[in-house]
Amino acid sequence: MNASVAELKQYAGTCPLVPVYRAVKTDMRSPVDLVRRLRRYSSKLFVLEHTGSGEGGDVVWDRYAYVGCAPSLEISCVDHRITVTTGQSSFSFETEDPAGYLRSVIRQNRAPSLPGLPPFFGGFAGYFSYEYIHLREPSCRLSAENTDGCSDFHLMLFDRLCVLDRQEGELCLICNIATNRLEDNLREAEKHLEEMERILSCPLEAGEAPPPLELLSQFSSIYPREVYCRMVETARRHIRTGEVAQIVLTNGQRARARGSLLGTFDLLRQTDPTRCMCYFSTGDVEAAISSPEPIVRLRNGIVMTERLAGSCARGENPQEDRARAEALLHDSKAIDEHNMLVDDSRNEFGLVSKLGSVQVRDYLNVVRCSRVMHLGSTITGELREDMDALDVINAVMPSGAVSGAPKLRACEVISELEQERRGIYGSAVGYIGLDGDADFSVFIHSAYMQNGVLTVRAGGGIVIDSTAEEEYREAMVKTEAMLSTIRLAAKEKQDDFNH
Amino acid sequence: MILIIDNYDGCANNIYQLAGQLNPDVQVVRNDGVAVGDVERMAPSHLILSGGSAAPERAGNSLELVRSFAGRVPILGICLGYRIICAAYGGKSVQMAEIRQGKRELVHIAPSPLFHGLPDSFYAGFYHAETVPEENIPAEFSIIARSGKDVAGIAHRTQAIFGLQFHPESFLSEYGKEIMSNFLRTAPAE
Repeated sequence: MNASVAELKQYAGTCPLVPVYRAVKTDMRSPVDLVRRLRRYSSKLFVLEHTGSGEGGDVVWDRYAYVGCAPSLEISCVDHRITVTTGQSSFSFETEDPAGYLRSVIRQNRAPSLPGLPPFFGGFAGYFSYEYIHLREPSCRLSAENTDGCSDFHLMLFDRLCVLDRQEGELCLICNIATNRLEDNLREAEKHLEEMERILSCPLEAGEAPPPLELLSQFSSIYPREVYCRMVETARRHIRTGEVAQIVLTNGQRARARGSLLGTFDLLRQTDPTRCMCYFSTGDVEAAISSPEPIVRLRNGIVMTERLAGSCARGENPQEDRARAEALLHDSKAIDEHNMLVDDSRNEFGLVSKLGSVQVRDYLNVVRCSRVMHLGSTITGELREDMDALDVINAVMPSGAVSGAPKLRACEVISELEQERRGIYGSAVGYIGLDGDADFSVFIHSAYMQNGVLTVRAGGGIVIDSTAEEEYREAMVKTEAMLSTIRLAAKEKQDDFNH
Repeated sequence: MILIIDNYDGCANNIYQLAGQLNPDVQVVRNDGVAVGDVERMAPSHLILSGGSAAPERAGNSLELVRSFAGRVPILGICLGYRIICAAYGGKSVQMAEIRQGKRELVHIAPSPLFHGLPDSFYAGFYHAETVPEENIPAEFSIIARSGKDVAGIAHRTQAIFGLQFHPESFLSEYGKEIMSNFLRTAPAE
């Protein structure tokens, strides 16, 4: 254990919770190994890890992978109805201000970060949906009905967390305990940590592997070609009049399916590791995410995001790779679009940042992922003293990468054209930590399963020069990349048993 | 107090940051969130109209605010804000042959209190699909900035009213802070 009762007591006055942890050696290298073992214990799971660029553009895994299991509390919201679940019991109520209620729950669960802990050591993990905007912007009229009962947000409180530390070859097992009755809680925590260690060290037995993914129907398009092309044309008319500068429309594919998306996530990790790799299961929704685009990161009072716009495939060899990067940097259309997104992010951060603190860094940086490269720019700001992670979420949601500009009008037009809610697509996926820090990425390049239906959505930013046919094809190509991984995962069935 | 009228665009907070660095006594309100009477009570020292995507006539109370406060409170209109000022004096906007979204272009300026201390030309960011053709610029205004042949900025001949088609608050623009600082030094003509 990291600390004595006496040491932990000093936090009792300031925080309701305090983290205790223990590090154990491990030979596991992937959070998927942890999840396979933990899901025997609870179906409610969350995995988050990041990759960065190493030398020569290689993709390297970040030091930490986070795995949460069996949340102590869940809070979700459908329209203005909040549901809070603790263990087996839950209650629901209507409120005018769901975000305000969420804020009060977040404030009741604060813990200090201690030396030796990873950046995320427990907190609220899950998603804020694309349509979350209708809660904070009543003026934004979304006409699409919520026929599937999609949540506006769904967060799971993981006061216990397993963190895979690749650098040390260790598992950091963390348990956040209440600072009242510290001695008793510390004894309890020791039992919890032992139990976590036991579950994680116990190999899978026959029948304990995740149920393999099975596709029960063919995939079919959400919008047929003619319909989608008409949508693009209507979007272009809105752009022509100046009502909006850009609109991100989406199409997608759906199939009936059963089983788990964990195998799909595992394949994505191996074949196309992207900046943010995330898997979660809330019981009713399961999702596998391979997102290149952060929406916001808040750490030690600094808000940060990176906007990506303008992309092309990686070259076959270093020389071709460099030539393609150079061409991308001279593509004036891509750069115009990129500029718009940079000003958009500055504007969002302008609302929550100290005056004069918003900065653009690494403008037009070439970001290399395993298959594609993007033009990226980083925007930062110093968070105002009177603002918190939820204010930041409110300021940036939904991401311009899935909406458009100006955002409110773009969202209204999207809703009119798509005529259905986007489910998890376009949401911000990530966490608000117990210390108030946060890290969210945009739910794109992803798949999710809800009510026995597997959905992959993808889209593109419509601008004045867009052509309908090309936009239709682009959405199909993006969707197909994910579908090929899904089909592969559905074939691999149960042979990953004993990993 | 500096009052920024947000015409529902993605730039009002950038204007807030730019003006707020120079004078932290700054407030942002939406164009349908305040009426003339409210602004009267708020008694702003300066009024700034943000960009936006609606037509000038449909930008909430912005048009009425210009008509009501012209000559009494210095006004700066940016992008749509500029076209709203033109509309208040009868100057009509038209759709451009080619829209400009996210373009960084060279602007040539004429002497004006708004551009005090600036070089004759500098780069600025443009986001717009509508423009006010030169022949539609109201007679009360002189042209103080151009990008190519297009009008990019105007100033009222006798009052502290300025309009800029470009966005001084964009990261694409040079001298944004100087322009804002010059505007905040203007006062209504006695």
